[in-house]
Amino acid sequence: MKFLRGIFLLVISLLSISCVREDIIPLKSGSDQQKLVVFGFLTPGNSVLIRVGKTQPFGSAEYKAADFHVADAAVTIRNNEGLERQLEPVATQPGLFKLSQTGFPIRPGQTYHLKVRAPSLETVTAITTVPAEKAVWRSVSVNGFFDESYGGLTYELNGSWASVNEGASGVSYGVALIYSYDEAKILQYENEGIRPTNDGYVVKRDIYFYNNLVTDVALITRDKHYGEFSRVSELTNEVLNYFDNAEFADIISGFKGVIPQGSNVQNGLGVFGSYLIESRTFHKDK
Amino acid sequence: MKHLLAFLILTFYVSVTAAQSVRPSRVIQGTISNNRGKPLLSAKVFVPKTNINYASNNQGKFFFSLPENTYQFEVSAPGYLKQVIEISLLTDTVLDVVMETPYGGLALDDVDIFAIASRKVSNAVSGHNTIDGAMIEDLPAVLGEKDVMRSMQLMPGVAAGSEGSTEMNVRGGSSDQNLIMLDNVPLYNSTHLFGMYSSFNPLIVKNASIYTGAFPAAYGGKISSVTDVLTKTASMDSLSGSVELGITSAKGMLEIPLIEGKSSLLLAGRRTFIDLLQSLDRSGQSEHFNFYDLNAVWTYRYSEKSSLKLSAYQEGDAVRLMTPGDVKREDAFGKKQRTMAIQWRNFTTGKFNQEVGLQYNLYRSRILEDRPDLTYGPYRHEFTSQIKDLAATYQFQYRPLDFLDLRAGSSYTQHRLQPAYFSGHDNHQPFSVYSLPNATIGEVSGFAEVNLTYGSGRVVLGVRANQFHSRPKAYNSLEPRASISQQVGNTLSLKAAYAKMSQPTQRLVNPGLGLPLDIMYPSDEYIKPQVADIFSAGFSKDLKIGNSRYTLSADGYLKKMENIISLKDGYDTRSVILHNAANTVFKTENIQDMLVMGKGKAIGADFMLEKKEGRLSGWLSYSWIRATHQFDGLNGGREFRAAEDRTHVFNAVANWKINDAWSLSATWMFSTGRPINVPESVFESSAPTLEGNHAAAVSYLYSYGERNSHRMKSFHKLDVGLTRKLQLWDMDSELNLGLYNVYNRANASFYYMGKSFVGESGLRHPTLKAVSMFPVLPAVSFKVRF
Repeated sequence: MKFLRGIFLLVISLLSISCVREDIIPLKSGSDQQKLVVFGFLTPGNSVLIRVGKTQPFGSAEYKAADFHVADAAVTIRNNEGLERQLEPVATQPGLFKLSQTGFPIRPGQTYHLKVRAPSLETVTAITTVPAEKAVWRSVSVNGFFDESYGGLTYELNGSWASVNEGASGVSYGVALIYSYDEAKILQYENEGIRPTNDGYVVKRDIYFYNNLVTDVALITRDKHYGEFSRVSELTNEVLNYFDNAEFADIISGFKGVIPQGSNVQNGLGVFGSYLIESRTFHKDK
Repeated sequence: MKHLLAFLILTFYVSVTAAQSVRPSRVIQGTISNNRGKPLLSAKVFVPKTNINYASNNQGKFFFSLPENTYQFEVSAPGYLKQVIEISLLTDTVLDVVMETPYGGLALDDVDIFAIASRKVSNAVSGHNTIDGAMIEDLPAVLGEKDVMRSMQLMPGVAAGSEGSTEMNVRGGSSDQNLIMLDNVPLYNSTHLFGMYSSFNPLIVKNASIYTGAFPAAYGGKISSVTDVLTKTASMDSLSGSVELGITSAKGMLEIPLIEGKSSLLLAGRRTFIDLLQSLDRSGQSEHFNFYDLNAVWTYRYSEKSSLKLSAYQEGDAVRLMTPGDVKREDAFGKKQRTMAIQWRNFTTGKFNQEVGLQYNLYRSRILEDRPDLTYGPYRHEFTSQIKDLAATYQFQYRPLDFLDLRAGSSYTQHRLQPAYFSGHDNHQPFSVYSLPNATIGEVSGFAEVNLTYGSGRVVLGVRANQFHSRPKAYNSLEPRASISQQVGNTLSLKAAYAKMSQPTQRLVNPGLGLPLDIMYPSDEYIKPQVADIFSAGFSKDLKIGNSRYTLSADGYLKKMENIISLKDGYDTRSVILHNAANTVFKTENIQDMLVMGKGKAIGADFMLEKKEGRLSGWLSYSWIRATHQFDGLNGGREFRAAEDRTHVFNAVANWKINDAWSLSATWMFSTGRPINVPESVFESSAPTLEGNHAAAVSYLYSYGERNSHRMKSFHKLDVGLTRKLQLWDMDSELNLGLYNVYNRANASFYYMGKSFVGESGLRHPTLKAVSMFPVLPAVSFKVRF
């Protein structure tokens, strides 16, 4: 047995000492040309907020937050009726531009045009059409059930809604879960567990209450650009999480395709989208 | 070498015997070759009067002496009709024997690389190379394994799929576009352990032939290359075999004569034992790697003109990662392949021979993720993809005139596919989904080929017709093939060829980073069969430099491909598995929505300089290629570099026979890095909040430039091997020492995007990482022949 163990150690050390070597590839980025990055998510009732940034070459030694910001941009928005306004920079958040909705209302079904200019960067434009109608929950529930496999209650969200009139520009749907412990109630990871049915959609997803008392469940009716971008963001994060350290299982299971860009910003990156939202709040003890 | 050794021993014995005879000795010498002029290395000359067997050497030559007398010489070779020749040996005699095969040209096993330099010129065929078992033995080993497919990767026009992989990219084609056959039976997967080993036990490989252009009409179903690996026929005269022990596997082969001169059985097996050694380690997480393959071939020659061959092959892979403890997890990958074939061959007359065959093939791959003890949502996900083929074949060869050779045949194959079955449970709720529909497909093929020899030239004209019936759609294809070669003088031949090929069943290949997953996808009403038109032209030239002879060959080609498929951005083969399950971001109602069809083009030139004689032999090969793809749905419709675009591929192979006992071999490989799609720039993402605000720096996102505009780093490595031939208990044996990747180059097997450390923004820093799996690796193996 000792002999076999010796052989084993020899073979494994030969195979593994050396076997998997991981190097960070220094990239001479193919793109020294920076691009404008624009994010805007319009929704009726809220101010218009546009965040403007720029790209950094991939493979740089380290990224600083300030490198991504563009504070001196000129941001204008126009509706289909020709009403055009310039957004003002928000002093406390470099790169964020704001326009009060009182002077520029966002309406369902309306199309909006965005134009962003910044020194030394190519001007970008984008268009979004706010969904004309929002999807509403036909049913939504959070059910807890006892599961011996972990010795406690587990919770599952089940919901359904009917399709809305998609209009010419199309819509997609997302469901975001916002837990009470979240500092920023960010609408993200909205795409998991949604399945089409004959007359609408259903969603089924695990809810992690832990010690939190409240969970908001938001049904989002998005224009198709926002929907596509949301999926790209989610996929990108999934890839980074899967391939964090090239573990065996991750290599087999992780995404191995090409991540699309998912941007509707002409000459730039990011997304200019719009959405309508309906949310419900659930308490753990109810 | 075994035969050479036997020859030397026998020659010595005979010379001693002859010296003791009263009658003067006469030398008889000559060459044993087949009807195409190729020397036969394993031929035997039996002299009943002396009861002594003589063997030809590796150039088909034999040489011995006998006392003056009249003798009958029985000349035999595996796969050929025995000849009995009576000679009155009254003077030194030259006897050249041409062996007839009952299988004739039909025998696609009738390829032999023991062509002397001039044969290469006279037999020049565009894009055709062969390699035999002895050449494989001469090359350095990887993890103690000498591999036929790795040897193929050293041929011009062929590039390794990735570091350590036995998969091939041939002339800009994907690894899915190679027809790889074992004794004429197509294999759906010819690799073990993600390509680290090929499926072929080197102990039983007789030879292998690769066509990268000028495909004979008998071959079809793939568009880039044809590789036919032929196994040995077991000796019908004496029990023999060999056993080899390496650092990662053991293998053996046994040749069992059942009825002398009529029937034999070949048994062979190979298995890794890494998993057995790993099982001794009882600490923590364990990784299990295992593969095996088994071969059995029964041959029965029930008459001089007819034979029956029954062959069976089975192989399997198992790769598992298991984590015991409170939270068990298991990730596993496995595959299994099984083929069976019956071949009846009949040599009716000297001009007509025929062959009837039945073939069965099963290929199944499986991926498992099992998390039985997760606190939330335990699950077990299992994915299988399977294809079963049943085929009947018939072909004949008719040679009405010396300069005219006709071949024709037909086949019917039924494919039964279960391309993507996804099952298991989520939180103990069972599910099972056929992510792609099961299908039963009929494929009918027929071919005819005329081989016309005139003066110093040869023309081959052929056509292949296929019907691929995948309900409700049927695809018909007509594939003309033509090649011409013209010898100019004794040392130069010119060659040109055209071939049209089609491929109705494709393998979905992930376009991004990471390891592949096999999903067989047959053409249907949406996805048409791939088609390729391949034009090639070149020359072969014999050169004499000093006392050495070399052959220089060059081949230029243009390959145009249509209906090649790719997954759209955002999708991978995993999306296919999950496309109608719940948990994936990118999913569609129809698999076809994930796929795009496009065009491909490859233009290139292959060069090879060979030296096959003398103590120092080997070759240099160089290939230049530019391969591009164009899909309306990818890269904005613009043409982009194909993943198979390896601009420069250079191989150097040298084998130095130091003396009869020692030999040293070395290979050096270089290729331009594979094109990959990596980000050009990075930016911070934002997202809205429930209250209508904006959250900044939610995550990093990436911007991509032109598709495949980056390349992996160049691949190059040096392997060396040292072989010592020994006599162990009167048995030929061989000790092989090898060093893989001598200068420890970190060649990348694959790239992935990872995160390295926490940056100022609080997000981990995005980086591109390369994983290399094969550093400098020593190898030891010991082989005994008996």
